[in-house]
Amino acid sequence: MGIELREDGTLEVVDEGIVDIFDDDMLHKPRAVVTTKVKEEYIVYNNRKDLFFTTNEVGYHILNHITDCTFQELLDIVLPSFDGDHTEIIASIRKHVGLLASIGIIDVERLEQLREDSLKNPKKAKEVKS
Amino acid sequence: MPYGIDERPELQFPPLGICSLAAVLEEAGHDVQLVDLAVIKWDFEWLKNKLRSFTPDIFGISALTASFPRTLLISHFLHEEFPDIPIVLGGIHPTFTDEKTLSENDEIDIIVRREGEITFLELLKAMEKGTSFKSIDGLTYREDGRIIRTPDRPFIKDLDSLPIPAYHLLDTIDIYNKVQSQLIVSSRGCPNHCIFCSTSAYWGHFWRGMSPPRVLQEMDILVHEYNATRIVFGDDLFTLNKKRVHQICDGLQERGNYVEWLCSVRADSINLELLKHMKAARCVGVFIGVESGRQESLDKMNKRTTVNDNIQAVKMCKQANLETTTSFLLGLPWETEDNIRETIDFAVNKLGSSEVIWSLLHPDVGSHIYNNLPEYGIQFVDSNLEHCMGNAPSVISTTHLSADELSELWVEAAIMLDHTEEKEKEKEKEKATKKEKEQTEGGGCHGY
Repeated sequence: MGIELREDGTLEVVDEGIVDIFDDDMLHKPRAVVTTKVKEEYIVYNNRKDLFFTTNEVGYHILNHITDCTFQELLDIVLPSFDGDHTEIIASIRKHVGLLASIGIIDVERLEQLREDSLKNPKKAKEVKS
Repeated sequence: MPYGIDERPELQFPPLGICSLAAVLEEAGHDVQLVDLAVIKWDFEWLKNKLRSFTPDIFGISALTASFPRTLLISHFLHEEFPDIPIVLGGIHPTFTDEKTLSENDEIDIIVRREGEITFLELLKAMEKGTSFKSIDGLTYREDGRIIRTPDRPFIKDLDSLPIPAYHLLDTIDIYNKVQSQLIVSSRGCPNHCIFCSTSAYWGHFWRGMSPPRVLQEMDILVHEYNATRIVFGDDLFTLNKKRVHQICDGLQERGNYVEWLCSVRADSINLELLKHMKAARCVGVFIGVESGRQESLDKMNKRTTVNDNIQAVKMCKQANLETTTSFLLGLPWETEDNIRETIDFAVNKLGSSEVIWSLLHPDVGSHIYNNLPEYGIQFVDSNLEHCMGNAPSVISTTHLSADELSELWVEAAIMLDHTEEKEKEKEKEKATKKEKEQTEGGGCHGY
């Protein structure tokens, strides 16, 4: 899923690919999303779509730390628990968070702001996008 | 219902309360139109266009707790568009929050409390004549800037006196056949005093049932005129009067069991003979509000059933070849994590019900728990009434568990059930494979 700017300056949500996540994007896990561990399985329930799915330990760890923080702040918290090439790990976490945003598990404030701006001030939204 | 029909179709039943009200008004010569807002997906513009062509004199809106925020939105919208037309609310939420609702929402003029059929009719008569509402029981309204509350109206004793609900006024009547089923409420009231439930506070503590011929007449209409293939009895206590149910079943058998049906029962209001008769009359399943696997909890919630009653009830349903859907309430104020896990274990591993519904406690307005929240140590953590649907996330915290812990336990309950169902399927598959293998090997032996 991505967000595209239409000719008239408004935004369009497109079901293609994963949302891009920037370091200063504000991440928020809504109350509607519940995570828990049941019988060695990591479960995520999304009330917005009434859907259950499983994730792994790493996904669970990341999701549980998304509590009104920027992507950079999330990295500061979770990176120390990973061994290996940090560049690769950051890229992987960024992709994972983008996927969570694309399927509606987390909210990303920049995207919400872009949506609002596009309605109030299409020109400004265009500038932000560029 | 706070959802549009496309969001949660499984919850979509015809709005029977307003259909019954409309039938009474039509019988008295009023011109009535009905709209199910969930089916039109809360499309205000569509509604505005319909209303412009109808030019009504009064709006009546029925609201549950979860749909109340949208009821207020639509009331505001209607008031903006049609400022001179009075807006009347009815239903369970406005009934128990009448004074608060009127004092906080200027656009709402009148609230009809509890059973609305006679009260609404008398209200229209008074409006036509321009007389005072003071003598109309069951009303809350504004007069000279003050909120007036007339005494409660006595409940309708003879439900047969009510006309058949005005199904013909619902343009969307066919849709319920497709997404869920048609609905009949053949009795009102409940003699029990479960502390989490507002039903008896709303419909009264004495049970009144329609006669079997009247119930069958309504079923005939739904089947023959509206092509119903499945009917759900929305009664809280369908089987309280067993003789009545036997007579309804006789009538259905005489009609060649023309429709499949379901109903709600209490574990202590059934026996095997009745269940078998229901099955023979094409009942396909029953709903049992079990609520807990712990006797202490059943006692504290004033359920007046035992754990053993519930086990026996499900067992009897199985013997009668009826599907059982049981419901459980998680997050009762005195329950710890271990207590809830005990109930989950009971439902998943001991009860043997065909289907289980888990609900997190969200105190219903009008219930004993709602009226005594501090005493029970309950705090609302989410004030959005639309979230009072029983699934996670929890809208409350208790003395023992936070809202997050309750939400996680609800998810755990759902997953545990899923695990068990999968295991059962695997077992059945294994059994079938083993049997097939034995038959193949056996066949070979016979060949020698």
